[in-house]
Amino acid sequence: MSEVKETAASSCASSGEFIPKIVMFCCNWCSYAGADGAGIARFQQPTNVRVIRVMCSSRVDPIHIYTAFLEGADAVLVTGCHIGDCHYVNANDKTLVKYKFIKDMLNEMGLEDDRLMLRWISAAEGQQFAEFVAEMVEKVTALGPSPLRKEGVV
Amino acid sequence: MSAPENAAQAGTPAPTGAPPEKKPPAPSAVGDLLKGSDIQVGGKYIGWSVREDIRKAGGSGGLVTAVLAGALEKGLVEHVLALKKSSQYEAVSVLTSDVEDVYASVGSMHMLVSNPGKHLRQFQNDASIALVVKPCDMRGIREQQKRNVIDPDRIFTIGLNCGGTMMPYKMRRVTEEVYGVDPNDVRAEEIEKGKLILETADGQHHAQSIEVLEEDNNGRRENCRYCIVKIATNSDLACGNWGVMPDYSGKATFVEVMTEKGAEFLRNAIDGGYAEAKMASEPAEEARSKVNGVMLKMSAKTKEQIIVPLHSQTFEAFKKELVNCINCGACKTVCPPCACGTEAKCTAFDDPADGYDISLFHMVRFLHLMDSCVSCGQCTDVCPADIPLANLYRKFADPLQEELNYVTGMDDRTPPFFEIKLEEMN
Amino acid sequence: MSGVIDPKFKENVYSSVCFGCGFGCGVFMRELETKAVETGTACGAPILNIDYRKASPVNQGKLCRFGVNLANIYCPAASSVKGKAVSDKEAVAKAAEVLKNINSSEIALLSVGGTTNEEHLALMKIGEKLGVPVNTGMTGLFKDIGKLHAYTGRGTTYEDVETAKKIYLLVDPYVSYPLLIRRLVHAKAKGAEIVSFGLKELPIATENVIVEPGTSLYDVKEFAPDAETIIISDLTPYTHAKRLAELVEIAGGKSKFLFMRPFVNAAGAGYLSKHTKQKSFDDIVSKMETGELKVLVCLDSDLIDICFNDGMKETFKNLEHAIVISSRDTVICGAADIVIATEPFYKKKGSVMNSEGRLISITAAAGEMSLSGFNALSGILEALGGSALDYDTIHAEAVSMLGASEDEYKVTVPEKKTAPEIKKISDKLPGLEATFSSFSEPDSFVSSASMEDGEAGADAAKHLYLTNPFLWNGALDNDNYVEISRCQVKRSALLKGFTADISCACGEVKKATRFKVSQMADGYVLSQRKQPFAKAPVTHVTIACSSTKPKGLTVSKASKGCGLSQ
Repeated sequence: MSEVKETAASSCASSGEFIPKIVMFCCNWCSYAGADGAGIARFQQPTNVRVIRVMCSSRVDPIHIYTAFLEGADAVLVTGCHIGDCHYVNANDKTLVKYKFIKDMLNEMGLEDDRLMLRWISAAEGQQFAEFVAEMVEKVTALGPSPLRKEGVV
Repeated sequence: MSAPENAAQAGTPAPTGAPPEKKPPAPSAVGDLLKGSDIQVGGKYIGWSVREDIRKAGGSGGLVTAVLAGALEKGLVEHVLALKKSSQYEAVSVLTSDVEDVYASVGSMHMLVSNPGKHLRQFQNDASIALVVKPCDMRGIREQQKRNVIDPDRIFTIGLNCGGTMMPYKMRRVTEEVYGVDPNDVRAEEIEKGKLILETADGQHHAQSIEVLEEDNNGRRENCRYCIVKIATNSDLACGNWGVMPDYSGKATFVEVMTEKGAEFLRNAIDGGYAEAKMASEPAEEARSKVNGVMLKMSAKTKEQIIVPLHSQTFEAFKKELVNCINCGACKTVCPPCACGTEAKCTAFDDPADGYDISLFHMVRFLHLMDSCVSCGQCTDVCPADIPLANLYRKFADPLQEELNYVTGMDDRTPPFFEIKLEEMN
Repeated sequence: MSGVIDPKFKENVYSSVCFGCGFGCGVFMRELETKAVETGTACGAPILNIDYRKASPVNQGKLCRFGVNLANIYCPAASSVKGKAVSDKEAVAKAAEVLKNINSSEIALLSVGGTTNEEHLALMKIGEKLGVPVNTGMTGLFKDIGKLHAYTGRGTTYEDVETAKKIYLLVDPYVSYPLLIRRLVHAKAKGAEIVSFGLKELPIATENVIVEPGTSLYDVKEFAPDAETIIISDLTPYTHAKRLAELVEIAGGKSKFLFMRPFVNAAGAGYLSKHTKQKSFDDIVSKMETGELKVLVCLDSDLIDICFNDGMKETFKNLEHAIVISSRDTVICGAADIVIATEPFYKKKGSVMNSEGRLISITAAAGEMSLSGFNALSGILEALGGSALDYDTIHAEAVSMLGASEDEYKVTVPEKKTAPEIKKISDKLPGLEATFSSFSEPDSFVSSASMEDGEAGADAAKHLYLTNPFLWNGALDNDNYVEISRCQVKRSALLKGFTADISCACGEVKKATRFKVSQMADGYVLSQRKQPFAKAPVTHVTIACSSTKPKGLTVSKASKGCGLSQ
């Protein structure tokens, strides 16, 4: 039994290097297309981002963001169409309102400012998309693991 | 000082810094007895019950009881939420259509914390109900009205001035340990000049300074000490005895008519022969706002001490506060502004099997209360792990409500979270 | 709420006690009789709601998850004979007829403390008439250790816990008795040392000592109670006698004990039946299995819910008559052939005694109390040739038997005779496995092959129940998961977001069980809900990664061994 325990424990140990894990919500009409564009244009970007496509940035509920953090994301990025370009009239205005609430709350809890970001990225802005991702990965790597990440989650 | 009748909810420790009165006191009321048609929205009156027994038992003239009894008997409402008293430390609100229950609920109780807003919710607008509320109860009801779960047309509210309430069990112990009195002997209580006075069965009075009690955390609940609404101007009738001058002291109630509905109910009480009223005098009005001002100043001072400003807390500190949470959900069920009912976002997505450091339940509640917390402290009262929840919620709510200049539950302004655009943000 | 509230109806409010466990939490129950009653709600009950009783000396209005949901857990029983609905009177007459015509050796009466002292005493009167004892289901523990009972006595209050210097926890308060938490929080704030002896690491404890259920307390060097220690343990039908004996031998007469109880009036029932010679819980069950027992009378005691064994329902069929007197419609009502329905617990006129030894009366704040349960028992006694019982007399008798004060704000303890000397008997008592293997279905308690090999069994574990109010009362909560340690997750190669298959040697498998990773001892599985694979309080099980996977995801062999990676 004790042998099993040891092997389990040794496999438990982290490999040392911190590789950030980032969850990114992209709106179907602009940002997701932007991500697509970044791929087609073959802009180099890090692989730490998991993209989740949503119909609109305002579909991103606080629950989604909290769950991402609690499940072990080191940062969450929300992207959508530029103000005025929303596919659903003014839904990204509502995103702004929600984002303010979530941001204020997470800041109060002691989460670093850079871990949650909102950025407008249009379908044509593939380069901006790639740059944004690279910038965020760099920032989060410097920050280290999120304090909301549960112990033992790798 | 304040002892509004029918007012388990109300409590009014007197401001310690109240200026001493030297010259002969001014009259409370001016003019003759009013007719029902004289009552106007925005008017301020001094009123009392026509029944002498009620005047006596109530300690403040029994106006509230008279208005409730009149409304019930004349069919303005079908039911009243009345308090059933079992001891000086314990009473429970009961839905009743029996006017005798209304008369029986007369009396002043500060050592009780009821939650009529949440009780009201259980009837789902199926009855038209009159109820007596503290300012924070009314704020909760208003927030629920904004979220379309309480129909404002089906309720009538009498708001009472409130300087704070105390936890009943704690006060029982204080009675025993600080006052040296057997709690079962206490027959009445009164707050006068900053002192909590207990009257025992043998007619003796025992007094202790509330300030001193609060130094040992034995006085008012923490939330009451930094409460920012002392006069329930958000209800239909704002009643209380602040502003009642010595000529009517203990014999009348100061009432401000806040809505057309309030005017209708007061007219009904006067025309129906339940109550009498006179115009309030100017000195009375001044005295009332003076007391209010002193109380608010005290609150502001306490608030600075209790609510630590933004960004000072870390995630670890929150985790530590919440580590003993047993997932009972009581904080949500008592929350006056919470409008969701049993199927809510905070409970539907929360799963203990996830084993998160801070449960989704709390994360969602922190967010939802940012623009709706009415600072009533009911959550802290019922927490079985004694987590200072109200304090935690205020840490999120205070900066935001201040920034957006939004006072919860005082008017019909849309909750900021539901706005399409926040004015302040552009 | 459908329908409109009839203006004629008033709301009834009762100052009652939560029946979830023996903690004795005060709660207001609101009962609103609306027109909805005529149309019938889910189970034909009036609309219930709880309110927080902030003047209660026990809980100051605070309630656990069970208490908060209390209104949903009441589902009134209906009187029936052989499944046919009858009036309460007919059911009582039928029950009396059965009891009249049976040999007293073939009857057993069971009342674990699910109802008031008065009703328990009334059943004892029936027992006297019949010449059979009323069993409380706890005596199995005391059968061997007899006199130790004096040390499990009452009088340690929750306030004492708050002011204690040293507290030894042998229960998991978070799950089993949640209202203890705040008392412990206050104690900790005052500098108390809280040591937990158990399988799980508790955040409230200042020190966690992992003690496996079979371990002798004599072998735990951290267990060193002194005069300033309060030991918090519990007394349930499954408390292991050997552990209890050790506890009393080591600390008896020296430290204070607080024994928590699983049923609302378990303490009261226990003290009332103190001098009756009872059968143990497993005696009754094994007699039912052999068919020796023909009639079983259960007074607000759901044997099927209390018994962890699923086969209990089948065992019930061996009885000629199962007479159930119950206020709630629980599983046992379906298995019984005579059901005598009584008023719901919250409005029963009477008193209960909580774990502290505090006598709490149930009263009405608005509305009328009911005595139908008491009257039904009195009716049975009358039909058996006894004289009808008077509530006030029985109440006075119960209070004097308990030696308690009727003021709920005071805990009084009857003057103690000098406690008997403690004799060491724990070494003669059977060990854990021996105790529970005879518990029920002995065949199912066979160690799995991998365990016998002594090696390999990385996925083998022992299953234990984390008892809680929902479990004892047969109510379901959002606790459909098992808890295992992180190392066990790795050993069994479980994956985050996936489920586990848990199986026992007898072949029962629970597939796709959700699991929670807890800070606890390796090699154990804890659950708060009845599990089909757990036939006894301790069961050997094996845990394997479930083949049932969430849609759209696949498990590759490579991910094995790094359990929690996504």
